[in-house]
Amino acid sequence: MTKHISIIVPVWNEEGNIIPLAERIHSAMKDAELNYTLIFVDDRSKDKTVEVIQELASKYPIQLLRKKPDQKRGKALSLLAGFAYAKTDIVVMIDADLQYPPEAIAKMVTKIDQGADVVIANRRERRTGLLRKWGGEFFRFVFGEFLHGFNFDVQSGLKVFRKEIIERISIKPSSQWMFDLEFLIAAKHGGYKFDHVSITFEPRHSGRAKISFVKASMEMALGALRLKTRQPKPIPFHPNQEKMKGKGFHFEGTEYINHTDLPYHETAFHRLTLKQILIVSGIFGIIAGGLMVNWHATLILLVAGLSILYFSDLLFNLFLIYRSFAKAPEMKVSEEEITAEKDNEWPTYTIFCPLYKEWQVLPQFVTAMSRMEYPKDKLQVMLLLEEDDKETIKNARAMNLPKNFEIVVVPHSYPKTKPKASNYGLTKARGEYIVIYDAEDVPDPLQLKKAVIAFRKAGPQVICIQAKLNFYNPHHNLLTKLFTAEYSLWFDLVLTGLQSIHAPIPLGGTSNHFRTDDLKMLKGWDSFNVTEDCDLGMRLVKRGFRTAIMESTTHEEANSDLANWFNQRSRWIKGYIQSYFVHMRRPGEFIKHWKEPHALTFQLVVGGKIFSLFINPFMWVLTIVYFALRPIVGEAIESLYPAPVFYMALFSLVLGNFLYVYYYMIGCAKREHDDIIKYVFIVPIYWLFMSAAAWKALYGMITKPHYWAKTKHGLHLGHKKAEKQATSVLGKDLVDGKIATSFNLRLNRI
Amino acid sequence: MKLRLKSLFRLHINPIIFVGLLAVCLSLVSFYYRYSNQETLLYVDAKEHLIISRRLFSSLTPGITQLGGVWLPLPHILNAFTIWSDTMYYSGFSGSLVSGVSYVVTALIIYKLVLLVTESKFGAIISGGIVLSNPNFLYLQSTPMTEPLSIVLKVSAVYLITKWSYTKDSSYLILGGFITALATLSRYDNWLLVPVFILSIYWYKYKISGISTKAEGNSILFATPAMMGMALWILYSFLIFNNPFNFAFTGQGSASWYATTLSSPSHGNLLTTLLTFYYVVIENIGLLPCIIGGIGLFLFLYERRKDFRTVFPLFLLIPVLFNILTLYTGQSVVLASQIPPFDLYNSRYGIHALPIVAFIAGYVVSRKNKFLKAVVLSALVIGISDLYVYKPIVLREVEKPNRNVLEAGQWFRENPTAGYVLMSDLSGASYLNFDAKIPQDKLIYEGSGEYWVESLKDPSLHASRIITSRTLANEDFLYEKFRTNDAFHQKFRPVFKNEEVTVYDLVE
Repeated sequence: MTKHISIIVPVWNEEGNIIPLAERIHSAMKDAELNYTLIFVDDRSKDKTVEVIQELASKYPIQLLRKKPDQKRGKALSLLAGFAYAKTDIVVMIDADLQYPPEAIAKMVTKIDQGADVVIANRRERRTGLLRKWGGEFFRFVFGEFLHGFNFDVQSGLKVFRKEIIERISIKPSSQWMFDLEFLIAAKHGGYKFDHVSITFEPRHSGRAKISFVKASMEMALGALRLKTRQPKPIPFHPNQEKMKGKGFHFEGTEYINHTDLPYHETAFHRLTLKQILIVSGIFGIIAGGLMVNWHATLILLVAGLSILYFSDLLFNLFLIYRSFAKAPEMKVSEEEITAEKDNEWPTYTIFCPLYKEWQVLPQFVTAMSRMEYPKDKLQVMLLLEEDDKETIKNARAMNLPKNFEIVVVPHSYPKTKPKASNYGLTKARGEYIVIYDAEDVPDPLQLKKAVIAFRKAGPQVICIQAKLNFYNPHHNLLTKLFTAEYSLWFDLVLTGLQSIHAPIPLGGTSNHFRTDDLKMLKGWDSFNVTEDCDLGMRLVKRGFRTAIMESTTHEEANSDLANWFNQRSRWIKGYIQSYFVHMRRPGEFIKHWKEPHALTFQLVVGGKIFSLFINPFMWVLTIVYFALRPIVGEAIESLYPAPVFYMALFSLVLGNFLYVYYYMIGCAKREHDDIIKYVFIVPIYWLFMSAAAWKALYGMITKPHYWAKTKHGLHLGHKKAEKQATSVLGKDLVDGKIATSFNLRLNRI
Repeated sequence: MKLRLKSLFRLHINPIIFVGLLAVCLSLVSFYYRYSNQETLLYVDAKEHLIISRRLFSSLTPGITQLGGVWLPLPHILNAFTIWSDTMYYSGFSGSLVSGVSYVVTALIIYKLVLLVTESKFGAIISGGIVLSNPNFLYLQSTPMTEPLSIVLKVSAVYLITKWSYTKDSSYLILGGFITALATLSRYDNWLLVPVFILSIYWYKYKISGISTKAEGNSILFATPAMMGMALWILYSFLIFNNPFNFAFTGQGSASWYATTLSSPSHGNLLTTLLTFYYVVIENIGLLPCIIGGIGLFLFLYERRKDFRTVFPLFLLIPVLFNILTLYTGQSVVLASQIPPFDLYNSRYGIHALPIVAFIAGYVVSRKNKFLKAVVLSALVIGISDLYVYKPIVLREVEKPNRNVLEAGQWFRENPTAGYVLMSDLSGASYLNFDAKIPQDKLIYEGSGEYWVESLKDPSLHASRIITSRTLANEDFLYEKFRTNDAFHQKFRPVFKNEEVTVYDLVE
């Protein structure tokens, strides 16, 4: 099939050039066997340009667009009007003055066929004035190559490109001379490939040039600088690309496929907004300035601020623990409620399991899913595997998976994160409800049924049900013991306390259940956030919804390797930092009603949690130094604490630290991990590692914000002590590395 | 009685609300009566407690460091919520309020404890009634003394641990731990509760679960907060006094202090110790209630011998045992009027037996045997009524105030000074500053930091008036330091003097 192109020619008082231009284009297209439509866009010419074009229209495939009196004039706007009018996939823009040879178009189209997206005619041999020639070269080098990295003639009036580019990008040229550069920059950010051909730049065929060279050069130079400093924006995929690859965008030329149309300002794609950078810098600036002007007063204020923060956090946590005990807010679903439901009445359910290089735990997961007490014909289990993880794909395919299991290979793309895979899965989910489990998870077999009933009982405002998480290998080593204590506190006390006051709940990474429609309405997960669960928990509150904690436990594998734990923890903290800054872009969205101060609880739960990790080591050092070197530095340190601050700080130091440690014990007791309670005394050492992980997270936030440090799973397999305990918690079927088909459900119910 | 109780229920009044309302009424009436008779501040210690609390706000060096020494800090911290008011301070309301609330809550907790163990509302009401009707407790709850606070915390801790043993709900264990910590910060008597509770929790949990790690976990869960109070106090003593056990070995209350100041016939003599404590208990609680308590205790032990939970309510006995122990070892002195030297001293310690007597009596009357009920109730009524024939023993002990100090206080009020007053806190008449209404921020004492240190070198540097005292038991530090100091006598001249107190003013 002969290719069809559109050739856009902006014209203004070009009566002498129209006929030879049309003839040369026609001849060139005929030679190249290209169909074409020649679209003239007249900018309200005062000569006979329009009449000449109208005459030629009977001879050639010409379309004439005439600007109306209320339309703005200018070459750039004429081009945009022509592009919008064009119906072909390839468009050409060429000046009417015949300085650019139409014969080059065919060669340029060939380059498009060969894979280029934009082809520029480079004016290499110019028969033009020396001043203009040098000026052009200078502009090309400084403002094209040096500033924007283009090694071709950015201002060339002859360009051939795919029409989808102009459909994707939004161009609002600041002047008629800025269209070219702006278009090329946008195309570059949109990930398009450039090529060029050399042409001979001829003198004008007829008429006079319409530009003042000096004025135009100045405008272009300033425009180029302005474009350099402008914050680039992500460019969403063209619908055609979206059909092939899924939802995604380009940013500064790099392709990102996130499989969600969550608005960019709600994602962690950007670390901080300009406003946030200014605020953070301002705070540091004020502190630095204060230290220079009056260091002592500044330190007193800093200490007072920190003391208030610690004190508030202490009171808040005390309140949460009290509420957790007093209200016992977790949703409970009885066996009677479950058995009252008929098998054919259960809705369809989709389980996501994003897996990456952890095929060893797959048998355990298959067994855990198979023993879920849920009608198998209503249960879709999706193993979300990454395209580049050949080993897991091979092993999964080799396994004799039950019929309701589906292997879904997520195409390789950036970002490479669990939420990206989950978003991909969301496009293929058939269930009315959705839940995510990690590969090493072993959920309560009744959890899905409990979640369905819990949703029904909770009402429409609750759109997420979070099951509790705990570990099946707490006795693997000291680290797993402390990790278990931490999880027991977090899921059994803190989150339930937060639920009791309808506060934003940072979701756990797994076992969060959604109605599929609600999740789609929320636009899924943020593929760029490395704690997408925390982010989603905040986002749903901003939309006026709630999360409820359900009395049902998913057992996971506690990280038993310190380096592995450290990487995991720094990822979590990095994700919390991301979530904090994402949601602080529009903190007002938290405020729906004064009775529910979500903005404040968000500060304490997410902001305070991160901030204290960074500050804690300094405060500990200060305390140790005070007691160790009291005769030397005691008076100086005491001078930083005026009486009210001193009592707050003292309360936080003594009772606060004690209570924070004790909360872990209470968590263990509530979860009946009585044997772990004694290890809680060394939790302060665990906190030290957490603070170290926080600093690593900050470094990661700066250098690799979207990098997902993968946590290794399956470390308990082969560890006799851990396996023994996992067996006692889960049953042998789940630990022996084989896929079990029959289960003693009574024993294994959790 | 049964009829009356039934009619009470018919009025839809929850018995615990009835007990609470009765307690509040009795507390207010008792306070009003004692205050009207100027009897609420007869104890020297009552004034001392108020002074310490006041100094948290008003002193040349106000703040937390004013706490400490021999006395545990909790009563002073609780008083501090209202002590800033001159009225609350000088009337003693601040301390009486804490005591009064303690009295009310003690009755309610005893009620709940008996109800928990016996499931008898009647028994619970009777036990609450025994607590409420005790004239000695009624007197103490009208004063800023620390016994009521100590008792309520101890009783609460016992109740919570018992409740845990009945419900297995660890939140009671946690709360019990914190209440025990507060108890240890109210009086040293309660320190013995901590190891006893820890061991018994371990023993009980092991007995019912057979799993040592569970027993260990529960013990730690309780012990961590329970020991926090003692640990903090030891740490505080170390930071402030450079001696973690400062409270035990220096100053008033230590064995050496008692040995040099008061002779205790009980020291090292078990029979005298037991007899002394027997007499003060009888005089505090009444003979018949004590007999019922004694017999009932054996009944309780026999009937509940197979129930491991029996052990927990019996911990109400611990402070009694602690007092006997400290009396025997010379760490404290109690004198009963029936034993040489036929005097009264610290007779209020006998009140610590009230909760266990009330509990056991409640247990006994909760039985279905009507005859037994009638006999026991009659005995209780007679026994308690008997206590009202004479003044409460705890009041008799202090009804003769130190006239020398009163006289000095009177002189002070009539001859106030605008300058600073130097006076030792370790003086036997240190509470004089309360009677004399000397503002605490005009007083230089051991806790005044540099002011005190400098004043010892040159008293005229800050002080315009100096008070020294000498009693049979105590010659104060300033008296010793200045009495033969010529330089001192050139700058200061005595303006008031009686057998005990001498006041010097700076020569203009």
